[in-house]
Amino acid sequence: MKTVLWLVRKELLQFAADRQGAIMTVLLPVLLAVLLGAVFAPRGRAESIEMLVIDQDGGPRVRALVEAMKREPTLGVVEVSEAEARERIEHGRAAMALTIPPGANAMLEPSGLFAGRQLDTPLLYDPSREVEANIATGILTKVEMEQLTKGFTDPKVMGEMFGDLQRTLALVPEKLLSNKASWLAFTEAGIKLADDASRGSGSVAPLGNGSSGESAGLRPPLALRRSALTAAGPATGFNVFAHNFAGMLCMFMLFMAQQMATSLCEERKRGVLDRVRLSLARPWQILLAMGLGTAAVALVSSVVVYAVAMAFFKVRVLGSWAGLVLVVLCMCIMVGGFGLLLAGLGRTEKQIGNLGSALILVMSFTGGAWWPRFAMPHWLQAVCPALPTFWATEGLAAATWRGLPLSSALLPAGLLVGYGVLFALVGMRSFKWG
Amino acid sequence: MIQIDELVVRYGAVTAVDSLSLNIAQGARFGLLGPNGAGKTSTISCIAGLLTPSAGHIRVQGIDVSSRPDEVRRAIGLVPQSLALYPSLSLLENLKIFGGLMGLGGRKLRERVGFALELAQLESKRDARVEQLSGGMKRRLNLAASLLHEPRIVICDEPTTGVDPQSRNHIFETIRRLQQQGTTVVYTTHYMEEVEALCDEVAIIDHGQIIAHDKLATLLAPPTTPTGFVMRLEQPTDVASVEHALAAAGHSVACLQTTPRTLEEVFLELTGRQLREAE
Repeated sequence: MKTVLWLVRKELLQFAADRQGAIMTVLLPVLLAVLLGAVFAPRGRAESIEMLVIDQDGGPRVRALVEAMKREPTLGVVEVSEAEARERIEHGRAAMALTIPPGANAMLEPSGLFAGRQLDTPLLYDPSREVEANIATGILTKVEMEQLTKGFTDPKVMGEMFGDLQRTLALVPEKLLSNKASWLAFTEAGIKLADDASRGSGSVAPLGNGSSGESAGLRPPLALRRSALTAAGPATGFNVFAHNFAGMLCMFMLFMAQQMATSLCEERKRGVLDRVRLSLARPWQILLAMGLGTAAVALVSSVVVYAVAMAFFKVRVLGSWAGLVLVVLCMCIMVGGFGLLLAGLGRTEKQIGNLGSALILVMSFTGGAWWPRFAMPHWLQAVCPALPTFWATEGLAAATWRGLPLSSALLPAGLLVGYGVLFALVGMRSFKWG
Repeated sequence: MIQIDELVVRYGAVTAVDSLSLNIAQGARFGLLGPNGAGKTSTISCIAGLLTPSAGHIRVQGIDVSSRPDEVRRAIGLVPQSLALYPSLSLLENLKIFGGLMGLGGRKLRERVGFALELAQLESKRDARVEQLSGGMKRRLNLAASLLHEPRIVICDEPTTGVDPQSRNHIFETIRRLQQQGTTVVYTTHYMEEVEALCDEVAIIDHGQIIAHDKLATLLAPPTTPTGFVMRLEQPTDVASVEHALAAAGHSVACLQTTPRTLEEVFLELTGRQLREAE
């Protein structure tokens, strides 16, 4: 037993000797737990779903409905033009847009519930954010119903109310009510309306389906018709793998860069790097070659991964092939730079491993490589654009399932190159040769 | 020729090399000795341009190391103490890469790679991964890889660490061949007998300074009235007879020992001097 204790002691001493590793062993799980908690933990204050609204009617009831939607805490309503709404959804800058068509105002009368007709009301949404669209559909229906039923009473109750009034009026002498006949006619009309509403006759459509006699219940006059929208038209090319492949490719390319940085560190330790330095290669050339080598391996990985995604998982390039190639190339440059950054900042293989794992996991998580950005809390969504992983996944999405043109790849590509150059410069300046 | 003038190397507060000056002539068989931490590796690193001196100047073949490093690198071949090879690549790939990095290409590169494989006697292993080689084979390849660009100066930093006697003997023969071709060889080691076997000029360095520098023969020259002798009798005899003869001649003997054979002599006699391929 003493032997075992000696060996356990040795393990503990070795663990403590690598202070950075020991810290990361504790810090990394805490960090990831906090981030995961931020996504999945119940949020004290509901975060709103952004919804663009295009009011093509402009009538008072429609305006009242829009204002009611704005007051709804779970919706963040922004009124825009139809063109702007499409552009924002196509580029992934908005989750959905509700178009309230002309004629909606007339349909939004309380009796519209019994009219048996519905007005086609398009709800366009980003196909990657279908969950949000589903939630919003429920919320919209609730708001619409609340608006319609304001001041509205049940037909039966309404009929009883008019019946009571009629009976009371019948008892009143005509000399006390000169226009008694008119009042009785009014109450009769009210009873008939309520009766019609309950039975569904006359100008009011029957509430039942006519054949079985079962009640169809109240129908909101605006029938939401949801349809996914991408720049390539209906989102037929979107599948969940389109996002997953982009995210996982990005993350594992960064892990590959970490491996390359570790190899460079091993070469330094073994003296191979000294032999290379004794050659005609300049120091900057040696490091640049390491970065380019990493980028080249990343490029090969990308080609293979996307080939598999397209061949077996129906991932399609609905946008620009040139855009896809550009983003992948720039992503590889970023990965090469990241490898140099790790090689520069980490003095030992352990340090590179610890630092690399922390950076990669946090960047992948926060940058949207694991799951879509909308699943994150708003504060985390605000951080996303500061990370290269965000631009990598956005750029790949633009070229593939979003169906956007080459111009949409330029910003992500430019930023990825910028990150790559920045990482490389910091890494090269920090690199220790001896 | 290597000229070192007032070389200083500092690592923070520690001075590893302290105003060291040294001249090594072209074609010299030069041994650099010193205990661990004496400043040998720092000095060698400065000569090769791997380390920037804190002060002082180094000229190789008349060229200032700091101002024209490429020309100096073409002139120098450093055989590092560590096995500076890519273990997952084949011997051929290693040699091609290192030759290519030294500016060799095409036919010249093929010739020099072939030469290096032949020199290391590893032609049959050319496609094997370096990690599959024995320690001795790796050492031979480590040496051969440093000679690809035909350097005029070869600096060997403990090139025989951990090798079997056959490979060690092979490395010695390679170095002797270089010396015969007029190549300057600077040899550092902890093994004094290696310096005695390969060098005719020696500098001893300690605490970053040269404490002795002379011809090997001069350093080893006996005092004018020595008290120790090595005799080899023409006929075998016993110790008592020798002691008696010396006493009869009026010499009082403080110590008399027979000379045993070295274990290496016995080993090589038994196993032969041929290199072993299947290790």
